Amino acid sequence: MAQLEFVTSNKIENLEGEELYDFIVDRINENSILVLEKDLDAIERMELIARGLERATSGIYAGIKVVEIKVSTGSGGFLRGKSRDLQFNLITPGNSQIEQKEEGYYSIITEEGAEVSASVI
Amino acid sequence: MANALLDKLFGSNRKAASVCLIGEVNTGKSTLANRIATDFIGTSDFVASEVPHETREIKKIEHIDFNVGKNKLDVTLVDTPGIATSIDYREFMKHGLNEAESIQRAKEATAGIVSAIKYLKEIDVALVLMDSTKPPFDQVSLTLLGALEMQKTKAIIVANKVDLDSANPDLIKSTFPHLPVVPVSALSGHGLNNLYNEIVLAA
Repeated sequence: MAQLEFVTSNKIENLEGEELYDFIVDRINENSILVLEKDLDAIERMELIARGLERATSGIYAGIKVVEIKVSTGSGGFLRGKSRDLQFNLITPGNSQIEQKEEGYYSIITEEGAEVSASVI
Repeated sequence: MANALLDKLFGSNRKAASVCLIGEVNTGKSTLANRIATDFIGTSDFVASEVPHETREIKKIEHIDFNVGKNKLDVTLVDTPGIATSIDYREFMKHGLNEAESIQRAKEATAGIVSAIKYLKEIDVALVLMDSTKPPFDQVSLTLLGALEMQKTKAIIVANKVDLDSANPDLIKSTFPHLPVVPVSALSGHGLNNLYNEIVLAA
């Protein structure tokens, strides 16, 4: 059963060097779906692709999908008081299907057919 | 040979550049590498195939006299394994390999992709190959171009396979208006002179 996990910027800052990539790959391999309180840049995403592949030894690896989530100022929920746009990453196994329902709301269908909803508002 | 001797005696004033073909799987990197090497040195041994992940190691030809008009470069031509985010050995079985061969090829392909990603830091000019018959919105190409831009590596998008009826290089041009996009057919040689001029400009 897929689990949704929110990874705070504090947690991310405490991970050094490649620990962040290992953390993400571990969690995805354990069937988690992550919302990262950070927008990985292109170099970091390439490093993440490489790290995931380095650890794939069986000849089958679904990869990792990274989707950028941008939430505008003035959105409701816990972001109401924020003074600037915020960016997150939704990270899922590569064979998941992701659909944006509306700003900050996503539906993820896993390979097994389970549906998980993620909201960052 | 004569050029190499002159360089040894008097030193070379040719600028050196590492020109690397990189991109998704089956976009025609090795076919183009063969074409470029054959045009400049008359021979080549990059292996191209329709089976995905034919190139599983980085391959180089060093000291190519890249003479285009009045411009001369000392080019190291680098062909890299196609980059993919996922791997499935069963795909190779559809191309006639048995299970053991397919698993072995998947492992080699995986290692090849990792080596290609790590090689990005070594490149002077990146020829980012795209298949003009497919939409250019794949995660690999977008991330790859973003990474090259961040590390300030010069990138030329090579819109390959324009000999095919369904090719749409204009879509690639409109998607990446800030980058040079050169439509080519590595198979027929169409557009290669334009590509050589762009390489000289970028280097």
